[in-house]
Amino acid sequence: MAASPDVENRVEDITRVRSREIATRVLLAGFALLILAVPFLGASPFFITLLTEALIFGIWAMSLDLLVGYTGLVSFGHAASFGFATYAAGIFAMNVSADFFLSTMVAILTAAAVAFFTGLVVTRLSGIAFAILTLCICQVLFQISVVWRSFTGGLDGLIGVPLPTLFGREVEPGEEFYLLTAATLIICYLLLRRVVESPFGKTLLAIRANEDRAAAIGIDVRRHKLVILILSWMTGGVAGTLFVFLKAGANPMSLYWIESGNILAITILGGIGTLFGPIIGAIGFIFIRDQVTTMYRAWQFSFGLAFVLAVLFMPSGIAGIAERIWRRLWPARS
Amino acid sequence: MDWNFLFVNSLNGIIYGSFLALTSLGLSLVFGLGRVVNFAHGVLYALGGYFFIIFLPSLGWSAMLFAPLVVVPLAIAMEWLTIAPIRNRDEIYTLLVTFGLSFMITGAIEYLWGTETTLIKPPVIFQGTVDILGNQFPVYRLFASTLSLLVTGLVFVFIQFTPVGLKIRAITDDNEMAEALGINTRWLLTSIFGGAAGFAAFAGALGAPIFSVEPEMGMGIIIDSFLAVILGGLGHLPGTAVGAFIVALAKSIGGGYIAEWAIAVLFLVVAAIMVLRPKGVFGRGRIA
Amino acid sequence: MATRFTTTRKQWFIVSRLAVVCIATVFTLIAAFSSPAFAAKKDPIKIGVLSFLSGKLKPIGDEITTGIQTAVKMHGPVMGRSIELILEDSLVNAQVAVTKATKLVQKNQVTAILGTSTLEALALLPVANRLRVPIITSNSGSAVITGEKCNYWVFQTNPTPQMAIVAMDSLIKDNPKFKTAKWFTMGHDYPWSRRVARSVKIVKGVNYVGEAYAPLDTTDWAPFIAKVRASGATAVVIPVTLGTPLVQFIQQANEFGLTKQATLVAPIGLPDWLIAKLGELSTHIVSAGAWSAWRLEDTIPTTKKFNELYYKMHGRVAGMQAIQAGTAAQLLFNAIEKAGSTDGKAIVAALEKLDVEAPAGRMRFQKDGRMAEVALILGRIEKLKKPKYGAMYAQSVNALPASKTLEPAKKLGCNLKK
Repeated sequence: MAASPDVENRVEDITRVRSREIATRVLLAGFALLILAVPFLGASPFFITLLTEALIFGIWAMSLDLLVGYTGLVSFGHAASFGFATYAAGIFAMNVSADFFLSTMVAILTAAAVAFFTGLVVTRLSGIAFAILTLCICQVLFQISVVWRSFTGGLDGLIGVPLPTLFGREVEPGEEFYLLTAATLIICYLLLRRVVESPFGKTLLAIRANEDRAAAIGIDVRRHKLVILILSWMTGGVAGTLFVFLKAGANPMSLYWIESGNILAITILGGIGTLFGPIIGAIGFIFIRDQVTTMYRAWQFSFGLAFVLAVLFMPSGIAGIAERIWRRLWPARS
Repeated sequence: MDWNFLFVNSLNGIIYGSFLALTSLGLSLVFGLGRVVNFAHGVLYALGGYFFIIFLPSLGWSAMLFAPLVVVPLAIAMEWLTIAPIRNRDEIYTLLVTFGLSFMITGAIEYLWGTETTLIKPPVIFQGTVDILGNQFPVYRLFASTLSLLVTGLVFVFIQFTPVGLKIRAITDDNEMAEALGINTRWLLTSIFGGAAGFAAFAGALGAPIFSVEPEMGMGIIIDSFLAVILGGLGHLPGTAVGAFIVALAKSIGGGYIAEWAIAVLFLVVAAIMVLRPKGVFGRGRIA
Repeated sequence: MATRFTTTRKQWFIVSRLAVVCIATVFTLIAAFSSPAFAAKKDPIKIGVLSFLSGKLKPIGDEITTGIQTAVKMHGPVMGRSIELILEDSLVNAQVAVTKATKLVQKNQVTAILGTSTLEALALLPVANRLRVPIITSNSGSAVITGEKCNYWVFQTNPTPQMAIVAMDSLIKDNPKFKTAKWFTMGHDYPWSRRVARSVKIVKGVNYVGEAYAPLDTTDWAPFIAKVRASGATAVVIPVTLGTPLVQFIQQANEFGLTKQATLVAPIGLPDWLIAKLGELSTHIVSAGAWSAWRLEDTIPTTKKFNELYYKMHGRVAGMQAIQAGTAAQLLFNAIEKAGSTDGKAIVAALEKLDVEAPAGRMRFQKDGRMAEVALILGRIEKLKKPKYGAMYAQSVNALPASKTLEPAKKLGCNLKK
């Protein structure tokens, strides 16, 4: 007996969705290859400099996406994860060892420790309260970085962080540093992809959809929030480590609340809940800021305008729009 | 212990606190009513300062009243264009939109009126200082804080004892129920947003002779006001006023004794209160 | 069934087109950012100017850029080549400053970088060895730039707060009123503010009664003024950020009547545009720095020439930041001519040996160091008998030569590694 048309349709749907997934993977792999290939395509030194910075911001934005996009926790203090790591890695590199892996480990572990303790507090809240509380905690860390001069250099910041070494060899600024950053980005992306696609990640989506209901069906909401917060801070810590090596210095201003707003804007403009979108958002932000600030003196206005328009008219961000086009190309039902 | 030093700092705190009460008033109202976290409150304050110095040469000190009159329609337009369309989305979006707006408007101010700081001298009768227990206090500060307290008090009375105030309280308590009872919430939300902007603008004008006028003047005041609103419980007006005094006293007394650590401690205290008493110090505000 | 991926030819067509578009975009971007700026011999010499071109410190950026523009006009072509200034905005952000400086070097291929205040100079110090172009900062307030963190590529022309402090020593000794004064330091929470305080404290015989540091975003200074009051201070050193914060502080100090009780001493001085803004209020201030350097014109012809040209071009008095930036620019031009090339190391070598008259006076860099031997000007802000270049108030000129204020590079902690 032939299957009913309904069942046949569904089988077709599944195969179509599967083919879309494969196409998506091919596209992402292509993108990763392209990113790794940029230095060999004759890119100028400054293009590489900017892209390095953009990819670092991409890692940072991705870490925020874990909170905003996958768990529904809008953090207004995410500068803390990044800025804190710039100090941890910077101080370690200046005084102990500039080994990239060691410095990154130090930054990640201290970030995780701070995230754990703040997490004990902030995970009690959600929504606006969470946003404001994270802002407060970020300001506390900012004040500490200003006031604890003997350790942080105060408002002068850290000056003269050496270049990182990889297996005992110094990483040259420019193309080598770029490749290190690109590789780190890809590794972070793949790891985080696994996290959000795991059962743990699906549980987070349940929390995002409705926290009370998630708790009612027996999910330990606070523990999940705590774990994802720590993971997010650790990823932000990776970005901070790369950044302090890139800039050869750290400054308290990267812990200031306005910086938290910037990264939130980048993440939302790129498209939350996609991991990939925030990377696009970061690339867009860094390149557009570079062009706009060189040509006009109206950066604040244009940035504000872009953000307002994005929140009003494309809440799913660039990635959301791209995904819609993509879905139209590979419809589930023809 | 130096009691006089404590006294001076307390009085300074009370002066700044009454000013802060005025700036946080609107923030609290707008949150209580419309669940709007208005990050752009600071730039409305700045706009008040700017329109004040624009009108000052031609209108004299009555410019202090005219400046808000210009800001109110601007704020209503802003609400209509950017906040009303996202009312039914998650309330966090209002925070994001107004954050973007605050950047936009600060940029616009810089573009229109430049980045320089403008100093305003207080009116002649309020210049100079007055002696209180052997300490010099500027007359204008005392005047400004008294006026702030007066305005804040009037708003309390308005909300507590008038029919419109009753509607406002009804919406703050239960938006849906109020709507079901036939209150036109849409209209009220917009007008309250305008009114709150008016108070912010008035504060900007009133503070101009103390804090001077510059494009980023709103950024400093917005954080302090936020802290006050959180301490008092979001949407709870008397709590907000008390919160304002706590913030101001912490800054002035703390600043006097532990100087640069005061702010870190203040933020920690606010964080602790948010977690331990999420409805504010009095437990009367909304759950944040 | 599993093999039935229903991908139509049309879909693959669109996807491949998309891929082509993507790759093309990347290539165009790369091309757009890679335009090789190949400098032919007769092309203009490109000089980068990094400063605050937007935001609340823009008045400082304006002074610096106008000063450099004036110097370009005053000097004329360098080695027969015209000068092209490329302005970049640091957005008052240290990290952006590094990116912009990198852009100036990598994309615009500038010969040197001028402008830069403390924030930018501190951010550029650690990457100067990667940029490999001379950087002459003319508005920096941190002693580490030419002290313990000094760098082969980074020069400074304006006096450091450290020098101002040595100058204050003589100010205190020469002025009986200051000798008996009770000193207090009321500053922003910067490391340099603390260094200023420490150096006041160690002046022999000084009666030091206390200090307080305010957070950067302080708008209400009342608690800090109360602290100054409580100490009974009669001379207050104010290492507060130039610009809005200093204006607010002085206005509020005046509001509380503090200016009647105590003299305010600005350790790095008071720029002329701030003096113009403060008006009468500024007369309560004694300033140590090279501010109101335009008044050197009575003795130095180059200063006069610069002032007149500046006034003609920009319609106001040349402030210290403008004069310093102009001086840095002129030193650079002279060094390029002396080196006979735009090669970075050649220019550095020429700068080290330079000795010329610039708008800020006779200038050369200290031996084995990176600090210019610039004269300091001390004195109270006074009302001018006859306004000049539009200025009503200015600092009274009492020049103190660098030989009295500048310590040797070694003692400042500067150890240049080539």
